[in-house]
Amino acid sequence: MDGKWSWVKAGLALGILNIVIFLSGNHLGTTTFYSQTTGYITNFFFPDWMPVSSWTKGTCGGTASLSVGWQWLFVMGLFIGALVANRTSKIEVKKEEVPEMWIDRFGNKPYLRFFHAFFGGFLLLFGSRLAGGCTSSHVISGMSQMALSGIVFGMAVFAAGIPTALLLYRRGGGAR
Amino acid sequence: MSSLLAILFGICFGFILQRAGALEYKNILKTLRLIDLRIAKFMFLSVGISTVGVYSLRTMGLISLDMIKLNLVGTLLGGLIFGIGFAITGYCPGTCIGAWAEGKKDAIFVVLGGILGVLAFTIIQNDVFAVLARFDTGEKMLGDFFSINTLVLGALYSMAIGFIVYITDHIELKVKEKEPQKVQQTLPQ
Repeated sequence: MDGKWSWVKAGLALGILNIVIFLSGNHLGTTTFYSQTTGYITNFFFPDWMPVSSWTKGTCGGTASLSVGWQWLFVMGLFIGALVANRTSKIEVKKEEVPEMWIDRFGNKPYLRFFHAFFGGFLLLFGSRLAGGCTSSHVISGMSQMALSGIVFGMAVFAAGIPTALLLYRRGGGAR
Repeated sequence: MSSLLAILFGICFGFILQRAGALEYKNILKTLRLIDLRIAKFMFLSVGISTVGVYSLRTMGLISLDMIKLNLVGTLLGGLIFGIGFAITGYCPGTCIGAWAEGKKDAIFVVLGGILGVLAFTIIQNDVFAVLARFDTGEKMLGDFFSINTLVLGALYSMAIGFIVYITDHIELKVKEKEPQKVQQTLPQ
């Protein structure tokens, strides 16, 4: 969009990156990052509450112990990469507290948006842990291996996401 | 070496996501509201391309697969909950990290909510996994249902995804051609 890459170019780039990651013997994923971070924080304050192995149980990095591992560093790279892309972009991305589209629909209420974001984030990672992965591991990595779990997850995400989005933005409803 | 690669791959991933516009709330919501499907097309095109590469390299013995086990109920339910969160936040667990890097404040709250989500699930996971255990089907993939060469199947699968993406793009263009009149009609009010 507007000087950014077209979806064809971006899709091609991500496809190639995904193949290269496979070649290196690793797999794309971000859920484990959340598991490990949460595990770190919780174990710091409540060391005896839960076994160390419980945090990443059932995720794509299932065998990983509580450490700054591959996936953690990968997500750190993601942060740096997005920062670099943002700073080198010809088009300045507006540093917005709240997305414009959201304001048009719900009004200029930053705290309501932050609450939505927090609640939605809770659902995102709760769902990811239940399903065993998120968009990166299930769709980008899983579906490219023709994994049934990835296909089921991908379909479910859109099956729930589309009606929710349409409902949130239904005409005439809610605050304007 | 492996650590360096992780950071390097992460940087590439973050860069691509930013350039694709996947770090923006409006693009995710436009896709989910079926207004502009660029993010879906971007995702599935990359899947289609990956499959050919992954199965070619696997046939050469250069890579090994690593799938997430399918638990029909767990995966489906998790995906549905994820989808609702996806529409509310306009981010996914990976893109909110990138959006945070871009200085978007709401993305930080998605990350914080996510940490609490993981904590909540981890507390109840033993009970959940106990209930879901009987729906476990292991690492299933499409090749388990068709008795043809997986490389051939991979190629067919890629073509099918490519075809779906192409048709979606085609339909979108058709709809957009009609759209301007509609917009003009509704604007004056």
